[in-house]
Amino acid sequence: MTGFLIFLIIALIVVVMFQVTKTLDMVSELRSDEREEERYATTQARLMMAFLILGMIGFFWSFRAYRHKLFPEPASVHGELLSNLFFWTLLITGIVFVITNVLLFVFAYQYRWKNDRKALHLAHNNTLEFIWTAIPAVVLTFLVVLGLRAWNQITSEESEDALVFEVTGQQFFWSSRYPGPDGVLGLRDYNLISAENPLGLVTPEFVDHKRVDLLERLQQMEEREVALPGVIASTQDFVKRHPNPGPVDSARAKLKDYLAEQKDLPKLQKRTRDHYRRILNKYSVEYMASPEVAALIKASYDDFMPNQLYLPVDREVVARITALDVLHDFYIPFMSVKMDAVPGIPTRFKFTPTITTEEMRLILSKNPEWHRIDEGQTEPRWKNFVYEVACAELCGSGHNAMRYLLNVGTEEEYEAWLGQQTAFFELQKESLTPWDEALYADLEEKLVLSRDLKHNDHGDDHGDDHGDDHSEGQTAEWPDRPAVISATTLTR
Amino acid sequence: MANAASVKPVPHSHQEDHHHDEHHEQGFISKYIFSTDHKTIAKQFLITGIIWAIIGGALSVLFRVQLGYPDADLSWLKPVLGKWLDDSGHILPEFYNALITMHGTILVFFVLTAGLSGTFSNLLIPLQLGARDMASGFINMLSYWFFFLSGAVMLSSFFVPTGAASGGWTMYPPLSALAQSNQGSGFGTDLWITSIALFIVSVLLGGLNYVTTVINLRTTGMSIFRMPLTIWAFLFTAIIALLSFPALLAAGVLLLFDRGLGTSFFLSEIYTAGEALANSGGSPILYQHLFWFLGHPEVYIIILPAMGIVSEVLSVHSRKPVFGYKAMIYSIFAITVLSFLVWAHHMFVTGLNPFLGSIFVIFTLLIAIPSAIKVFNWIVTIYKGNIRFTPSMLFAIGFVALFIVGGLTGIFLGNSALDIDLHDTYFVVAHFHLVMGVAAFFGTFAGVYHWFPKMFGRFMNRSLGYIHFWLTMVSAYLIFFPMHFMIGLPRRYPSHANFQFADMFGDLNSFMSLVAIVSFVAQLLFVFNFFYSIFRGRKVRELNPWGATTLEWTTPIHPKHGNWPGEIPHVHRWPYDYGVNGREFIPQDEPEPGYVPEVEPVHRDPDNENA
Repeated sequence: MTGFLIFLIIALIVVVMFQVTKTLDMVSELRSDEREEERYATTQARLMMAFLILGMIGFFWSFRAYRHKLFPEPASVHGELLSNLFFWTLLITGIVFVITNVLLFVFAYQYRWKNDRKALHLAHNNTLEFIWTAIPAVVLTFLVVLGLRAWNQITSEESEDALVFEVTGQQFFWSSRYPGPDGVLGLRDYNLISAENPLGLVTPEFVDHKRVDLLERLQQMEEREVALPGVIASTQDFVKRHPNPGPVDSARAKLKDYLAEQKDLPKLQKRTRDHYRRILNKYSVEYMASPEVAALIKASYDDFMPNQLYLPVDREVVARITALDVLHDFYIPFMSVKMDAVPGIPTRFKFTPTITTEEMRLILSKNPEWHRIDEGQTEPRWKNFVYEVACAELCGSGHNAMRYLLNVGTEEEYEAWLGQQTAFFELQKESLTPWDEALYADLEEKLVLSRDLKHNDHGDDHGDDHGDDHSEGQTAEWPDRPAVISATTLTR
Repeated sequence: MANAASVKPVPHSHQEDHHHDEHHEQGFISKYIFSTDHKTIAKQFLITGIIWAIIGGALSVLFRVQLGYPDADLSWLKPVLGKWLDDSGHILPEFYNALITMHGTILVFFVLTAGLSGTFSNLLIPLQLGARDMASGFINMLSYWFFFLSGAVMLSSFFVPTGAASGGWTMYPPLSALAQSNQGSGFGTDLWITSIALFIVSVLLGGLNYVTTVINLRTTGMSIFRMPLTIWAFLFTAIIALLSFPALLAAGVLLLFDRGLGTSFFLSEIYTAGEALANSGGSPILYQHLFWFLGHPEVYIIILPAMGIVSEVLSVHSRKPVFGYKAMIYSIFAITVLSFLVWAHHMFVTGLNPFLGSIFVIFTLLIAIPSAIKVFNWIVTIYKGNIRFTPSMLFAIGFVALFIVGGLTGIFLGNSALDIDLHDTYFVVAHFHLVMGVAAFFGTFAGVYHWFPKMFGRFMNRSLGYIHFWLTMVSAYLIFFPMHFMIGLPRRYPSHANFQFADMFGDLNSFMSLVAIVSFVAQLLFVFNFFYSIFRGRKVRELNPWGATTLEWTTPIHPKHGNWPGEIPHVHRWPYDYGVNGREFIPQDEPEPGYVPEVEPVHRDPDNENA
């Protein structure tokens, strides 16, 4: 209703405005005096002048009015470089902004139409044009040099003793991983991701666990495949026998789901078998025992995954940034850290935090914007300040919910925090299902390997199966497949 | 004397077609719908563009309401928006993303590419060059109808159950490739890609025509350095479009393959919806390279025609030649070349090789030089002029002002180091809206107010034009200038309340939304003025109401298909002879004193055209 009223009012204003202007136009046309153009020009030129003056006042006023909303001093080493660069760019562009706008609007005012004025024929002037090509060139060179020096410093290699940590974005949260006492991040494989292993750490135990997990799922699908025709038949029967609409409607909906499930099941089975095969192909004894891989696997055991980030102040750190599903972007606003998280292509960002969380709270306590008391809080915002991590690349409906926290403490506080962490593997090892040769070898043969051979003999019997054909060629070599690693076959 | 031209036998073959048209009345369909007349096609592009601008603008009002008044109850819109509102009448995040995606797509492609370049290239290339029509009227017609079809497909995607595409107008995979990761990445995205593919066909057909016409169909005496700057701008725009749009087509087709055929061009090692996908070896970044290979030149496809129009309008209404005509042409040329060498400045934080980043910084800041030259030349163009403040002139001056403020913030963003801070924040939103959004709109408005008399034989209401200008100008600054201060605020967030650092702009957001609604209403004033003036505007009574030098004003007030009833005028001078030899202006077709024509020109009596 209010909407309609607003619409009505707007429509009314439009009509009134139109009528007024139309009358004005008609009057001026009737009068048809030759000073009409001058009158228009005078009014508009005055408005231009007013716009310039008010605009310039607004321009300078806004810097004052919004200064508390800007970030306080940068909390990282390269942040200082950037604010320096920002200052110079702002100064230069600010000067250009004022000069060009003043000239534009003052000229517009000054040379407004007068019946007796003659415009100057001024087609070009080489000296002038050379000057205003040269000046921007020099100024921009200065900014490029300043900018690239900062850029090279930011993107340069980290020092040997830099602290490495990892952040991973997925819809719609961040998780992090620290290397543990050995200082090396262990190996990861997205094929091994499961509820117990959310980042897909690679250890023989996790490989076994994922194999078992997939076999169990395949078995469930097998059972479902057998059961579905019966379920569908009885539902169809039910629909036929009951003419009254109530229960039949829900039964129809169910039937639709069952039929869709039946249709999708072979595809899902094939995808799951392919997934299983990818693991078999990759995790051979040779692969796991090769020195580089073995070292990285070993490094996985002490990695820990805290529920928020903690960094020591004044120490160079490198974020290894990854994503599981779609693009994300690891963004720490106060520290000028921003880097895309790309599935399949890890990125990195090197920085050095310079202000601890406590110190930043003190700085913010002097900023009126941070004195506000948020709803449901009892203390002003600065007291609850923690560095926030956000996502800066559109990643779907929960894009603005990817909040993660970062604390910066002194070296001692950081050591104390490290002491409280437990390796992720230690936390999970109880819940991992071990590979039991007797239990699972036959199941593997029945659910994956024999299906692969059959699949090959019959050619592609699922015509609508798209994707992942790259592993198809492997199946012919099945009898010679490498011995798969298992926690029991490899002593670590 | 009456009909002197039409009784006299004329050797030109087009002229015979023209006679043919005159004597056999065209049906409504071939005259107004499937027309091959470039002027009608221009009007079709313009009116379709206006309709899309209203739709695109309305979408922005919706998401501005969400940003400015997050607690507003929109239940009264339930009949229209249905399930895209939650029970308390708030916009769902999924729908918010679809809104911003569609707003961007519609405004960038349908309004500021087709609506701007489609309209004025079509209208002005033959008229200002002295051609009867485009090189191929039929292909020109196809170009419009592919655009129309593309729009129809895009519009239909709003009615798909999973909603319109919502991956951002850039449509980055994997989000846009995986239906399980995003509702809008379902059928809506297939339609988005199809629509864009059709649109690219339209742009390519149009562009081929523009380039061919400019090269081949100039009238006698119209050497390239006698072409008005509008034509130079349209020519380079068409060249950019022809070279860059195919890259987007490639990206779209590959994306379609990844979506439907299980290929891995842009996908690798993905775990989504509880499943590890088989795709490996692809790169989401590859898509971004392809996309921005179009995406950056695209902003010049949008802004160059506006620059051309503004150069022309500033000169005509200052009664002065454009300052530095050749410098303007070389600047356009430099911008055209450089526009293909800067695309990766959109990708500084994707993990791009830092050295490559440096190269793109240099090219990006280089492009500021020709842009600066153009701005200085525009300012000097009005210096010591005699400025007629028509609405078109106001918009042209406004364009220069907006281009300055938007262009200067580009210097911040082009520096890769600063881009770390600014990438994907509201600073970027402010920058590109000013420099290529609002500025390009100002160029379009300048063109519409200026050439409306040529298109429809009537003037638009002048006072309403002034109100429209000032409301738009003031609101453009009120919306986008304060936005620069939201410097660290991530964009594409339906709400910033989750973050302490970002949750301090509530009042400012409400204010900007209010102004956005006002400016939207101001645009409706323009739409009203436009359609009303087509039928009821003050009639044009003289051939050359603005006292311009270019050829379009030598045609009859209501030119028929074929443009000139008699022989096409010959050109004897450059287009900016204002204030020479003690005269206010000298039209391009006026011979130099003492010029002796080789053949007696056909007599032409424009006042009696419609008799």
